[in-house]
Amino acid sequence: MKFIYPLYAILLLFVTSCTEVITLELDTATQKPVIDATLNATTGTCKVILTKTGGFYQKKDFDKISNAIVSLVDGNGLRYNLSETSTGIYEIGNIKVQPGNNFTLTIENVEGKTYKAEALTPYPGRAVEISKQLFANPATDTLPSFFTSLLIEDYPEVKNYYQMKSYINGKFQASIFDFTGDEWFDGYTVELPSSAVVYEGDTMVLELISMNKAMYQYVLEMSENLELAYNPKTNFDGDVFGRFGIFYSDSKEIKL
Amino acid sequence: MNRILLTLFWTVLFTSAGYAQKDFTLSGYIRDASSGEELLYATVQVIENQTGTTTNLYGFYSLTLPEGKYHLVYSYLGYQTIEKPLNLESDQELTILLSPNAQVMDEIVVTAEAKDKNVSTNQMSVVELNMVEAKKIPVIFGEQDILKTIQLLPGVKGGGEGGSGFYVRGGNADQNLVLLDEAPVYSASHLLGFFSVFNSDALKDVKLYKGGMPAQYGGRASSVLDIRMKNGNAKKWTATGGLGLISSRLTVEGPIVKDKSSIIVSGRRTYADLLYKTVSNKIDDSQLYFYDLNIKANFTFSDKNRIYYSGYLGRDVVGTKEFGFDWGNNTNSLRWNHNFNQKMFLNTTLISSQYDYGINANFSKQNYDVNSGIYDYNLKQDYNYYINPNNTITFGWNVINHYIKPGNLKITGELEVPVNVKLQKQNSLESGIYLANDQKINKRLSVYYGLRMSMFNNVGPQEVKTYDENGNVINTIKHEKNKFFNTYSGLEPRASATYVLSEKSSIKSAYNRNYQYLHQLTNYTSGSPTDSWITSSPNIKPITADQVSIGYFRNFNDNMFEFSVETYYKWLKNQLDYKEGANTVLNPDVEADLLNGTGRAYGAELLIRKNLGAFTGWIGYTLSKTERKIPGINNGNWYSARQDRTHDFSIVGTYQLSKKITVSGTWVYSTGDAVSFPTGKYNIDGVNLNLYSDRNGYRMPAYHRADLGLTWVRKDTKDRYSDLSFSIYNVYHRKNAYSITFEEVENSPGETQAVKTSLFGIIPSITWNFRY
Repeated sequence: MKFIYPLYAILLLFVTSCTEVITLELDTATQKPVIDATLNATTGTCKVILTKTGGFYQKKDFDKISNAIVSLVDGNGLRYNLSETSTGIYEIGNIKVQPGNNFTLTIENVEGKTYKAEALTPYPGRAVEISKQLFANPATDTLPSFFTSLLIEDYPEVKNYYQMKSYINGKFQASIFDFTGDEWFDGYTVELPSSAVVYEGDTMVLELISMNKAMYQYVLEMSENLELAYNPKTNFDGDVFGRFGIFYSDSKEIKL
Repeated sequence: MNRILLTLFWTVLFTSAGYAQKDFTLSGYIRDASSGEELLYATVQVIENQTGTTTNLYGFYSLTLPEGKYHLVYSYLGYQTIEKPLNLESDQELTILLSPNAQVMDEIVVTAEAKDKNVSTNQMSVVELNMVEAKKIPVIFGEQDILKTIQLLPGVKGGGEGGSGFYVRGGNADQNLVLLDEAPVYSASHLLGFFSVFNSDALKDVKLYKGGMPAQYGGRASSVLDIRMKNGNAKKWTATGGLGLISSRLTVEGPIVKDKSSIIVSGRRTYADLLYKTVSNKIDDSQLYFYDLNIKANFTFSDKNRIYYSGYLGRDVVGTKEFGFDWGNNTNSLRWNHNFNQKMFLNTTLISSQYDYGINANFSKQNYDVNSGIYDYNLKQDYNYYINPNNTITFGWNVINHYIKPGNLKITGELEVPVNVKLQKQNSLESGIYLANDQKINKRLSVYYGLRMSMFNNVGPQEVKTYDENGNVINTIKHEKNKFFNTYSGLEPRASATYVLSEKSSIKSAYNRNYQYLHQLTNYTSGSPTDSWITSSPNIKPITADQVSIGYFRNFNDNMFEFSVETYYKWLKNQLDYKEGANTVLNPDVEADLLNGTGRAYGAELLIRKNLGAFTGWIGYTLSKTERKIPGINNGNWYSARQDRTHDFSIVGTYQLSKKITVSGTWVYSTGDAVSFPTGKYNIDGVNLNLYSDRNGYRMPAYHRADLGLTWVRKDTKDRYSDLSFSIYNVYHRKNAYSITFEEVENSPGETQAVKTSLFGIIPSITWNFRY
C-alpha cells in the first residue's frame, strides 16, 4: 500500500534543491540472463522476452537471447509452445485461462541452461471510473495540476494483488509504482490514487493490473530497487533475473 | 550479584574509614545569581585536601568533611568562580550564587577557574554543550540547533542534510536515548531532520554520553542525550525571543513567588508557508510548518521539598486540502525533589511521552485516515547518597509501560469500507534497578562502578505468531489481557576509571553494557516520520551493546587548551533490518519480514579545545569503522553501515572582537556515506532496473562545508539586551550530494545516467534576538 508515499513529495517540493548529471566510475557486473515473462489472462497471450544484463552506461539495446525453447503447461497438462516472433521475443495466443489455473513456464537452451517457474492465475478486479482533483502544487507552472484516482471493484473472498499503471498522453510512467493488496478492502469498491501529477490538457489512462502474488512481490521489489538498492528476487529456479507473472488488465481514461 | 554487592559495601567502608569521627556535612545548591537557575554539574573544590564534588542534575551538592577550616572554590563554566572560607563546626547548608562572566559583581573574589575537569573528572566519552557558546555557532537559517551542534564533536555523526537523527559511535539512530527533562523524545527532529525539536531558548543543559554511561540510564544501546530545560527566572519577569527568516520564538519566564517558584513558557513557530503564500497564489490551502511549545513550572514547598512540572508539545504539519500529514511529540514530567537529610537526595519522576503521526487523504468518493503512535508511561526514583567526599552512591529504579499502536486505517466517505485495519497493539513493561558508586580511591585514582539490571515483559492481550522460514504463520498463541507472557532480562555492568598522571594529564577507561528492548523499523536511508517502533517479543530479541573505551587527556598552557584522544570498540547483537522486499506498510506480520544480525564499530576520536580567552573553539577528528553482518543481506558477509564515514573532521571557532562584536566559523569534512551503486542494469516490464553487487560497496562524494556567523550586540544592559545575528551557511556554495539517483535520459530510452541532488547552496540569514 504505497499510496501514502507521495506525501513526501509534497514536503520536498518546499525544499530548495538542484540536480546535476554526474559521472561515476562504476564496475560492470558479469552478464546474466533476464527473463521478462507474463501471461495476460485478459487476452490469453503469453509473452517472454529474453535479454542479458548490460553495463550501467550502456547506450545500445540489451543483448537478446535467441533460439531458446519456451513452453507453457497448464494445470491439466495442456502444453503451449511459444514461437520466437522476433529476436529474443517469444509469444503465443489463444491460451485458455481461468482464475485459479496453475501454469508452469519452462525455458530451455538459455546459454545451455533451463529455467522453470510456476504461477497461479489471479482473480480479476474491475476498473470502474477515474476521478480527478485539483492539486495545489507549489512547484507547478501556470497550468492547473491534478491528482487522479481510479475506483476499483475488488473480487471478493480471495486474496488479490493490484498494480495501477499510469499513462500520460500515451507514455507509460515507468518510475511510478502504485500497488496494493486487498487485505484491507476485500470485496469492496475503493479509490486508489495515482502518484502521477497531471496537467490541464493531458490525457490520463490508469490501468489496473490484477496479478498473482509472485508478480506482485516482484513489483514491490522493483519499486524499492532504487531507494533500497537490491535486486528483486526471481521466482524462476536458477541464477537469473526476472519473473513469470499472470495478470488481468482493465483500464480507464480521462481527459483533463 | 551478592558477591558484587558485598564487594561494593566493603570497598565503600574501607575508603570512608578515615572520616569516621567528627564529620560534618555541608550541603546546598549552586545557582545563577541573576535568574536563580540551578547550575548542573557545577564544581565544589576543597583547597586544603584536594577533594570536592559536583552538583547533581538538580543543582544540589553535599560534602562531608572532618571538622575544620577550609577554603571552598565554587566554579561553573562561563561563570565567575567564587572562593569561600568555611569553618565547619557543625552541619551547614550553603547555597551559592554564581554570576555569568559578563556580570562581574564587587563582592565576588575571582580566582583562576578550575578548568582541569577535562583531566581530573572520572568521566570520559561525554559531550557537554555550553548553551551560551553553542548559540554563537553559525547555523542554517539562523535557527539554533543543539542536535546540529553536537554533530560537530567527535564520535557523533549526523544523518546528513535533510536526514533526521544522529549516529553515535556506529550505533543506529534509534539507539540514542533522547531525554527532555527525563522524558524520552521519540522523534527529535522537524521537517525530515532539517531542524531539531529543541528550542534553545528553553534549554539549560545538554549532555551526551557516547560511552561509559552511568547506571541510571538504560533502554538504548548507543548513547544518552540528556537535555534539561530551564526552570524559569525566580527573581524577575523577563521575555526573550528572536525574529528570524523562517521562524520566530518567544520565551517568557518569571517568579510565581520570588526565589521560591517560577515558570517558563517558550514557543516557536515557522512561517515558511506563510511567506510562500505571499509570493505564490497557487498554494492558498497548503500547509508547511512546525511549532514547539515548552512549559515548565517549579514550586518550592520547603527546604526539603520541591516539585517541577515540564511539558513539551511539538508538531509538524504538511499538506494540502487533499492530503494532510502531521506528526509530533508530547511529553510531560512531574518531578518531586526531596532531601531526606544533607546526605540523601531523592528525585521521583512521573513521565508520559508520546509520538504519533496521522495521514489523511481525501479523494472524490473516499477519505483515508492512517494513524500510528507510541505512548510511554514511566515512574522512576533516583537516590543520591553522599557518604563522604570520596564516595557518592546512586541507586534507584524505574518502570515504563510502552504502549504501541503500530497503525490503523479507516476509510470513510460516500463509499465507506467498513473493514477498518487495526494492527495489533503492543503492550509491554520495561523496568530496571541500579546501584553505583563514584569513588575516589586516592589522589590519583578514581573509579565508577555500578550495575543495572533491566527486565522486559510483553503484556497481553496479544497474539504471538510463529513463522516458518518463508514467513508463513505456522502457529498462533493468544495471550489474555494483562498476562505477562514473555520476559527478557539482563545485567548491565557500568564501569569507568581515571588515573591522574599529573596535574595536566590523565588516562581514562570505561566499559558499559546496554540492553535495548524497543526497535525502530526504517526502510528509508534517511529516516522518516512514519518509521514505526516495535517492542521485543518472542520473535525479536533485545539489542545488546558492549563498549570499551580508553583515552588520554591532557591540558596545556595553564588549562587554556584541552586535548583528548579516545579509542573505542563496540559490539552490537540482534541488529534488526527489513528483509529485501518486506511489506513495510500496515503489515500484521512485520516480524516475519525482519532479519537479525550483528554489528561492530571501532575508532579513535581526537579533540583539541580552547575554552578560555577571546578566541574559543575546537578541532575534532574521528577515524572510525562501522559494519553490520546480517544473514540475508550481502550474502551474510560484513558490510559497511550507511553511516560508516572513515574520516570526520570539524573546526569550530568563536572570536570576540569587542564587547559588541563576536565572529564565528565552522568547517566540516567527512567521508561520504557508504552506499550501493549499480554495476549494471536490465529491463523488466518496460522499466530499467539497476543491478547491484555488494551492499554499500561505494561511497557518496565527500561532504564539506564552511559556515560563518557574526553577532552584533546592539544593547546590553541589566534589563535589556538585543543583538543581530548574521550567518552564512555553506559559504563557498559547495553542492554536497543529498542523494545520487540513477535514471533514464530524457528522450533517449535505454540510456541511463547518474544524477546528483543537492539541497542547500549558500544561505545567508539574519536573526534579531532580544531580552527584556
